[in-house]
Amino acid sequence: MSDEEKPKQNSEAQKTAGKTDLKEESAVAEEGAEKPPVKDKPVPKPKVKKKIPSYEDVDDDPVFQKLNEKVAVSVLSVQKFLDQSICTVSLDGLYELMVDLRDNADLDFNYLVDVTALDYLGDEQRFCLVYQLYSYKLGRLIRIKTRAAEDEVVPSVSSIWKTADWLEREVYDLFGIEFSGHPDLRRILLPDDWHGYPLRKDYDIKLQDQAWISSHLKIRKTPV
Amino acid sequence: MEQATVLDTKVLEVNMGPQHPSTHGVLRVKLKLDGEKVVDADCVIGYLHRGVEKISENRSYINGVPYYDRTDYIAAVSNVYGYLLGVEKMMGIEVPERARHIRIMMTEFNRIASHLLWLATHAIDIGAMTVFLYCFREREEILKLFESLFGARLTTHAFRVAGLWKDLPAGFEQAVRDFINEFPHRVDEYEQLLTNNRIWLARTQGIGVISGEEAIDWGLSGPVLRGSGVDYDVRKARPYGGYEEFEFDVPLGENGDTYDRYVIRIEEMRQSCRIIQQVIDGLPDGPVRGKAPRTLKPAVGEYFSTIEGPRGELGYYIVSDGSVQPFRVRIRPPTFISLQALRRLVKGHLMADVIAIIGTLDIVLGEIDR
Amino acid sequence: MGLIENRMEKNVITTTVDSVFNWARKSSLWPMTFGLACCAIEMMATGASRFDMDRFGAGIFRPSPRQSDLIIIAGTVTLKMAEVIQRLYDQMPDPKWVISMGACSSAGGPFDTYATLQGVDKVIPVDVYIPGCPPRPEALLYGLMRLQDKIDEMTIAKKAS
Repeated sequence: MSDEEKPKQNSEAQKTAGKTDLKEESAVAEEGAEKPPVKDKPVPKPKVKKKIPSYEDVDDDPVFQKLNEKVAVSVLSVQKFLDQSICTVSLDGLYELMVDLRDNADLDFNYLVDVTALDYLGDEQRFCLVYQLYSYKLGRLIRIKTRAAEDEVVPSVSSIWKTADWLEREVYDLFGIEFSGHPDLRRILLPDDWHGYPLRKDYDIKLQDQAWISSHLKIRKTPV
Repeated sequence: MEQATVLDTKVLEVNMGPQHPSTHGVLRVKLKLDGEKVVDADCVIGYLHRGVEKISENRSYINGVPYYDRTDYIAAVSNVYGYLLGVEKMMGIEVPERARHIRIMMTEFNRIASHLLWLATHAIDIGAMTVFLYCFREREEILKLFESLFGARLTTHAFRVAGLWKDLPAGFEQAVRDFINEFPHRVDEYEQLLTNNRIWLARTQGIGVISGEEAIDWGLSGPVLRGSGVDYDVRKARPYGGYEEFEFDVPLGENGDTYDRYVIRIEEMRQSCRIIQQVIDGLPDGPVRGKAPRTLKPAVGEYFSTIEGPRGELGYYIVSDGSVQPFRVRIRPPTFISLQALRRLVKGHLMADVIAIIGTLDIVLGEIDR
Repeated sequence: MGLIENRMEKNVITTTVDSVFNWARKSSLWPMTFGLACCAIEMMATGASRFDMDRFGAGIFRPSPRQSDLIIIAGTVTLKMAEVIQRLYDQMPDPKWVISMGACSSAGGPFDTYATLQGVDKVIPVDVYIPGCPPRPEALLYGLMRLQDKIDEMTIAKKAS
């Protein structure tokens, strides 16, 4: 009986083709086609609220409990964000804390992974220096943060870990933060006589040092 | 009259300029030579500084990804992998199992491709030209696979948040199996040419020696660190993305010289092949993309995700201030740290060894300068 | 060459001499090894065996600018590097050609920042621009062939002013 069904389906299709009236469409559909079995409306799953990660204060971190007492005074806070430990220290106690973290036999943080900075424009202590340290003995990665104002000089850790040499040079080059006790503090990525510190928030991304360009390059007129 | 028998020499300053066939990019090394011996080597970098970190503050989380491809352009797939692991962790996004396995497989292909390019350039710098052509032959096979899955050969923008862009195309699994059946024989070919070659041994053994403790102090990672005997591989120390499900060995060296690093990288290629074999044999079915919101807006916070790139520990420090653009993305480049150690490694060696040492550090200027 | 150039109107001698000189020049273009960034890897792949550049006569990459007649700027040109490129271009002997490979050297590419030169043609004259990021090796070979066509148009006859 497929031949009979086909013209029916065709006429239905023709009827429903150009129509926008829903009622007529559903009436036509119900005439010829079999009614589909009525399903129960699925019960909506209870929405599980995703836990928004946030900074949690931590009191019992074994690493920071083993620190020397003199050094532990400068620790302002110990927090955890997504299972990563962050310790904020004051700038005056930074160098002693780093020495203790490396020399303490239980901790042995002998691998300085990274040194970088953040710029919170508008804050009185504008820069935030971030040090990532790893201990082979404990198998742990921790983060030390400290705040510094715009013209404050930060103690260099290049005498503690040799790898800090170029990392601090890069921070100086891009942010303008000066390090005391650094063997060779000069620009590393930008030309030596560049003016300005690009990664600061008040430095526009397209700002080129025109004085440098006019003294070093001969710009030709580009063909149209 | 007494005749002078020893010539009065001075230290000669030679510039190994930014344009040089063997500096693997735009690196300038100011060498101070006493005859042929190197007294000091000062590296000048920044000839490829493009401001990627500043750009990433002005783009959204996903729009910044093509820029991270172009930092370490030789191993673009693993760059993106490290970044996306961080973003997914901050957003709490789950990646389906099939996508995780495919990601690991492509990252290991990426490791092989990167080591092949390393061997090609290292060998041609030292003088073995045939190896360059052989390695590029295999690399083309891998780039064909990348092209069929990602759409591009070199700067791939490999993965997306919560998985992959699309599933494996038809014929992909067979192509992978063909490759891993053939590849170990090709590695044997390279070994035949180099490993016991007298000239290779003379040029690489005892060159650029560094001890384990010193390597840790200099912050080295990857094959350069493992050549000195330190057992640190981020895939084993802090497993990520599913690596704990696969079996592989991490080769270690003994002497910390250029030859050991060569042997380690050759062995790493074989181990990557082993991981790919395990992935392709047990690849589960399922979706390749999980659920992710259309605009990525992580909560205020920060995360430091590290992976084991072919050159060492590649890290992404992502700081979010709750908006659609990151507050700061810091790329921790392993080769920046390795190049710093060049000054320490070349002291006392001959000028020709400087080339061998730059080659063994496996530097990529795109990543150093960003 | 300086003695016979620009003296005669176009005639059978100049066209014959032109065809010989142009054929010699275009069939043995010696590029300089000048890879800056990602495009350099594709340039190396073009020189390798799959997309052999040597069959065009351009396979010998000379390390010194004084021995090369083609410079392929492959990669992003930063301001720090532009100084060096100017010097290298001046060191190359005539006749010399420049291929700008990739989006970065043609117009700055995706890097519109404080440290990037938006196009190498701001410091040296460019003959052929090849778009792409990075351009496929076939695209580089096509650019090379277009440069060969451009060389074909060179003539020693008097140019109509």
